[in-house]
Amino acid sequence: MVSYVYSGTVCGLDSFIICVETDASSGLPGFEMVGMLNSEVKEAKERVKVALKNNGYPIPALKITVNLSPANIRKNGTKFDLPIAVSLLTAMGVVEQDKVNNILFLGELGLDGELRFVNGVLPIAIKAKELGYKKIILPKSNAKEAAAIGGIDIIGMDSLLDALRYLTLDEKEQNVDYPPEKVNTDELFAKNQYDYNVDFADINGQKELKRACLIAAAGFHHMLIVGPPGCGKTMAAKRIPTILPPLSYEESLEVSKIYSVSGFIKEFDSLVVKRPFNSPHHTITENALSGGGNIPKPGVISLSHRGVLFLDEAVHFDRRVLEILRQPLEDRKITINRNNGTYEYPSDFMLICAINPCPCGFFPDRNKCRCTDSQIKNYLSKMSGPILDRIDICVQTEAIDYDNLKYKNDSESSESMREKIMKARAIQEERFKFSRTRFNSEMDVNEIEEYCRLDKKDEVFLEKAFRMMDLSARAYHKTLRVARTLADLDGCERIGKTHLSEALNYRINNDFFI
Amino acid sequence: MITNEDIYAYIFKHQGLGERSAIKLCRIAGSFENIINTDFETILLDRLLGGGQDDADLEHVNLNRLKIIIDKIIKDEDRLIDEARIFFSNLLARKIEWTHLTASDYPKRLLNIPDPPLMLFYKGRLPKENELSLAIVGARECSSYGEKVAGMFSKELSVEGVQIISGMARGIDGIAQRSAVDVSGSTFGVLGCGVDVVYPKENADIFETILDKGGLISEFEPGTQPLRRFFPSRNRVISGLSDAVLVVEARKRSGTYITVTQALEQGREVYAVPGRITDALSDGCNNLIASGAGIAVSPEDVLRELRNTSVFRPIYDSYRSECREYYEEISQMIDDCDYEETDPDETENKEENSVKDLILSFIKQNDLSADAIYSRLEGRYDFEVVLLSLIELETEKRIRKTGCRYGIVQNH
Repeated sequence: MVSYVYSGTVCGLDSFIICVETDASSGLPGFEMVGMLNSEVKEAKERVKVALKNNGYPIPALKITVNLSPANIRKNGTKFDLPIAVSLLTAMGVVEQDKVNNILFLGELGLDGELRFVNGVLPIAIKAKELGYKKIILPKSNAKEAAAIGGIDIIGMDSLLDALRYLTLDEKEQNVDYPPEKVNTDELFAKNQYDYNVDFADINGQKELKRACLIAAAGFHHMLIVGPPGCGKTMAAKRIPTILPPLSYEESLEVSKIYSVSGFIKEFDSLVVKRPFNSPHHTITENALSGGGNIPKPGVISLSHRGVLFLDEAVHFDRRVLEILRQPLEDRKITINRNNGTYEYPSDFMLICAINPCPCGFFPDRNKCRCTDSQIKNYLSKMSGPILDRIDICVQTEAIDYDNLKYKNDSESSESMREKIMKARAIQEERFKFSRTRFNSEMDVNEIEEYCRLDKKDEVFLEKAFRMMDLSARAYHKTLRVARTLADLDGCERIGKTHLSEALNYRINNDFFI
Repeated sequence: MITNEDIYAYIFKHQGLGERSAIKLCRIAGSFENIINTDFETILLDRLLGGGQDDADLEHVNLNRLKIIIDKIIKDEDRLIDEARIFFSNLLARKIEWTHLTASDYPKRLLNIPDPPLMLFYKGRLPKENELSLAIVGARECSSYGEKVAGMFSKELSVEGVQIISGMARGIDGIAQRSAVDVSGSTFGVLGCGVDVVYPKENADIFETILDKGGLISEFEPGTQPLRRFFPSRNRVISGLSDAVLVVEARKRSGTYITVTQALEQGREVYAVPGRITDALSDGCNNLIASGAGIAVSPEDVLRELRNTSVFRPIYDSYRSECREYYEEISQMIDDCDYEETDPDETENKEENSVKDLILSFIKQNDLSADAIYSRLEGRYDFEVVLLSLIELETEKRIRKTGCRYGIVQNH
């Protein structure tokens, strides 16, 4: 008799429902598993055999064949232990086939029959919900993660025996003994969304830097911070997630899927509700940044999806590694080609780069810095040009002096900054209702013309400034984009002179970046 | 045209005759050509026996080495003379002039130093003997204060007819020379490379303009590329060509310090521009002052000192009383200015004292970042207003941004 039990697997971010078919019939006794299996799936055979034996179900001396279909999808991970065990027991007649229909099984088995945590449950659960499955039986430690999607019963189990007992009960008893896991997402979001232990109020002085962060977050502009060691570059960057608008439920699901696949959702965790912040070390490899492997795992840029990617000491990154950022910055996703398929991961992140102003780090403080102009130029020119092109805001800071450090002046808190940003974002949402563009930073030339009209007087001012500062056409558009965000922050319909001048202040210094 | 003496000077230079020896030998023999025929050993013996005063002259000359050089020259004289002729005709073709120790146009000031260069190559002209000359030297990586001071001293002194000598380097040197060129004063660049080599590139523009009223001078043959080890010996020529040396900004233990040491060895006056004791760039200057250098508080002061100490140039004596009156007048004017600037009532009464003026007054002495300016304004103006003013000032070319800091544009 052939039994059919359902499970799922993940390939990239796509998930597939897998049918575990088992046949137990007379013949030369043996246990075969087929269906394009990775080695960890093949090992399931031993775990299942021992776990069943230890729970009182010895394997009969029959020819047992397990097929995981469709056979053209590569299966990996340890989540097939439980479905294989259940499928085998169904084939042996211990469990009725009727009872296992419409249920998805996921979970790794210990030799004693304990159910253990597995990765990538969330995308499978979402897929199962889409396809109309009623229930998912999985390890208790995975239950919170899957239950967050709602609309499908998630039943967390401690052991194989629990799962088997569940399958023998009628519906009423099932609900009493094994109530489906519930996660209150509203409460989860409200409680954890801004549960950071850092705040912009921690930063004293550094008005310009904080202001630049505010503008960058409001218009989703990528930002470059230039400053000496210890001036608070990293400190500010770490606090940027605290002022970004909250993750919506849909965004949270996107991020959680990536984290689930990568194994970053830990036991008993639920959705990722905070905006991610990633700060890779400058020795990072291309694969680690973009995502890699035979079946590519999401890289750091995808793990920063809907959040912040912070490149500290950006000039020290391998140039080839930085060039990878070009596609994601343009398309907000990364495409990875492998011989078994093409994988696409979303990577819509805010890029923050931090660099020192010169090799020793202290320019223009000539008391400390003895770098020559050519050394400085050399150092800064390591910054990749195409990346700089996509950075709208460049803020140059210096370390604050003792007075500012000692006397706490009332520094603006993340919450009040966030309020301003939310207002500016609302204006942008209204403006770009019918466009693919979402933020000021994404405006194309036509949109800039439409939304960034200047008064004659201001145009003259801008022209004069441009001549004097010797700026390029690209810088012109950047300035207008940033000025638009500044006007939005002020709630102004038109861009004014103050907005323009402030935007000009955040221009990228042509002298150094050639 | 090419004289015999030129040719022998070149040959001796080429064969590696030391500078300290050359000046002594020339003094005894009278000319390079005569060195070959002079029996120095006999002279030395004579003098030793006679107990003459000049024996110190020859005592330190390595006569054995000299003998080897002379032997070489005698053996290969024709070829060497041909080579020298080719060399000089090349110079003529490229409009590069030259002088040597025994030539009449060799700078007299250099003859006073213990190791004058055997030959000098130059474009333009050499410094005039009867006019004051002042070396202005300092750090390559200088602060805006250094830039300001170097420019001010150079301009005001070259207007007064002082020849400005410097090394054409980045930083203070270049600024001093550029300022002198700006007011069409005469200034001389002493190079650590051939006179036809443009180094550093930053100052390429003044390599041409300097020739109108001054010159480029080098002891190295045209075509020589700048090397680190050439610079100390170039520095001795800078101080050697000058009546006094003015140090504008220098760190402790820097190239400028080498120039100062050599200047003192050569008996030149050294003046230093004082700075704040907390500035690393003024460290060297303040230390020089502490150990007895003249304090350069104003260009007028330095000029007065220069004219006073250069008593062996009687040509200035007659002007002296005249000058005094003039300086008193000027210092009176400057005093008035100071008074106006520091008058507290004046600043408070000015209703129109806009944020721009405040910003300018803040960054007058020190470059400051936008944050620092904002905190100095103590919240009287919004940050946006400060940024607007800064950009406006920048557009008007009154200030300029270096890194994160804004500074005054000097020539405004």
